[in-house]
Amino acid sequence: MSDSTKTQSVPMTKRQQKDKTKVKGYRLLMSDVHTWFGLLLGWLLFTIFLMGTVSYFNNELTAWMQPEITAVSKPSALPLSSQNSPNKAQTSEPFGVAIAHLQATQANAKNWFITKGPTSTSNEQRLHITTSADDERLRYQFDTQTQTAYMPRDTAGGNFFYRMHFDLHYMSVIWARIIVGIASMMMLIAIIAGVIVHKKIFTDFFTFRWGKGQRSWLDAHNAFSVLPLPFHIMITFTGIITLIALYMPWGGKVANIDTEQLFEGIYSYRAADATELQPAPMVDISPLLTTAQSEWQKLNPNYVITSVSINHPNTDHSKIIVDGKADHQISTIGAFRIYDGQTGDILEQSKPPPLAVTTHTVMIGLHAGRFADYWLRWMYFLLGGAGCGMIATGLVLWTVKRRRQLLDMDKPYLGFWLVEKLNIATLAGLPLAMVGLLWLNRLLPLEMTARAKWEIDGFFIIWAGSFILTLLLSSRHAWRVLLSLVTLSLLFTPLLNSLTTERGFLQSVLSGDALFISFDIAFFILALLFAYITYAVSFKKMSPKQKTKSKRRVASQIEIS
Amino acid sequence: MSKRRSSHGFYLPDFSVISRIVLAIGGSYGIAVLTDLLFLALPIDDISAIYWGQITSVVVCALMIILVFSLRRLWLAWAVVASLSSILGLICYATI
Repeated sequence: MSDSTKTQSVPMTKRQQKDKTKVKGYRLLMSDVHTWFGLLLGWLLFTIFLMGTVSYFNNELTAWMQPEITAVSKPSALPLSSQNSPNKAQTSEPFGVAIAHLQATQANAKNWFITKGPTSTSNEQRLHITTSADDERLRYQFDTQTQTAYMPRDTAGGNFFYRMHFDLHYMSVIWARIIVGIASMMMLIAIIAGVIVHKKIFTDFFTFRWGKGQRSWLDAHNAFSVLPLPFHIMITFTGIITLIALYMPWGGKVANIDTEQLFEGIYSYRAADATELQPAPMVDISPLLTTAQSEWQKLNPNYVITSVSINHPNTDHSKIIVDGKADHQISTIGAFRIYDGQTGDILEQSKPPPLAVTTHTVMIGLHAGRFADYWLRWMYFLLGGAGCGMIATGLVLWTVKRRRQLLDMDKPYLGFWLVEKLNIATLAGLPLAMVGLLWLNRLLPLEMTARAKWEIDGFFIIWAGSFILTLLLSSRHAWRVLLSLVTLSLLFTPLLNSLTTERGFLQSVLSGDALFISFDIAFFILALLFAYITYAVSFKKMSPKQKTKSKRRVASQIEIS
Repeated sequence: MSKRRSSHGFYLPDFSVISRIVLAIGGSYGIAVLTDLLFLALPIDDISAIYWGQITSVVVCALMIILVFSLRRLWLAWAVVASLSSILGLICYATI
């Protein structure tokens, strides 16, 4: 051991040296596995977990970030009789109205994609339209009742958090997914090892010793881990399963399976890549939709049409792709039909998938939680939050446990220093960057070029800034400053929203805009939570008793050495 | 695990730790791949075999990592992984 190390950490006592010669018990062995598997990619895991947790409200976040799109009135679904009537004119169907609108405005596009909006932020009449022509892509919402097109601001939306959850950013998607997969496997191992380590797993859940330093952090870690344990295992395991085709492609390769053909049998996506197109009229789409829906409803009465995609509309290569799914279906695959756009003949249709494929897609559905209603999504959100809490307390616990062994708290060894700085930059810096992205959504000029990109760049600039701040300040100050900034920014977000949009808290209450009211309340509650964390982490001082104990321990260690 | 530290205070992993890490990464993934392939030998259609194999391989991979770090003797961990790989490899070779 070098001299510098001697001065930075407490030398081992004779008792400790004696203990070291003993063979480690199995639990102690697993404790090491739990610690290191949890720590090494803990910061990435926290990022993945936090991004995934907020993604349960992905559509709501996007709606909040596009305040110019007015709130929908609900529910205004068409009566079933009108949907099923085979003689109904094309314009009476929301999809038909949208197609009539596209015929009038973008007849020469390469692809039209019309989908129902999420039920939480949209209704039957409000459809989401994406059109692509050459290299240009246009996305907007269209109210089929009022014939109004809503062109929102250019924003990263909630989708940024969702993609960041598994694609990270500024790097190859494949490599990002491999890294995320490794981190997820490490998380799974840490969870299993954590269960083995626990002697009294049930008792530990009901134990919380307040103000006891390391013991309190351990109790908090247990509380966040034990009750939601089935969720943590499920979400980690199904998370790996969602990307398993990338990690385990060997079965398909050995069996010589044409994966493109396989996916075409399961999913409806077909690229619009035909060449040498000739103009040709298209068939009336309404009867096709009515027939498809009524036939699917014979198998499952909850089936409804969710999207219509038309490749090469108004040409001799036009294809109409109709997708359907049951409401609250866990599996992510539904039924589809592909029609010839000129004749209306069925070209392809989905077949019931094998049980293994259904199992796989049910796991993906369980992970994404898109089937869940509001209450269940809140449950997902809270359990995801518990997962973030589990990782955060675990990371902090690592430093709290080792801080007691430091001789000089102001000059820790490099490993300790690095972990502590990364903890601050991730646990406090990431939430700050996330709120920062919401602020940028409101503050960047609406006509700015590459506005969505700048929102994302701003997010990373704030995150990098918080890391630099962490390096410049002492750990205690860095915690205090960053957490205070998170608290203040959360607290003032509703105010910023009311100053920059016409959907402030008062207007939202008067117009019954549940989405914006919920966001303002959520920001306030989160601000209170962060205010408490700021107080607990940085302002609460170590009790004189603890200080004396620590000093005595250090003194005795020096005497012995 | 080793408690030796560098002059910068980092723990210095010794040979046995590095060896276990290599075994945990390579061995567990190798056995997971062989488990995945083994499903192709079952009397079910190839698509089902691929999907069931993938799902099972995740569980097997996690269990193998735990096993590698659970066995006290390093040579035993290597022996177990090598034996399992050989058996699975032979079955795959003979049946697929």
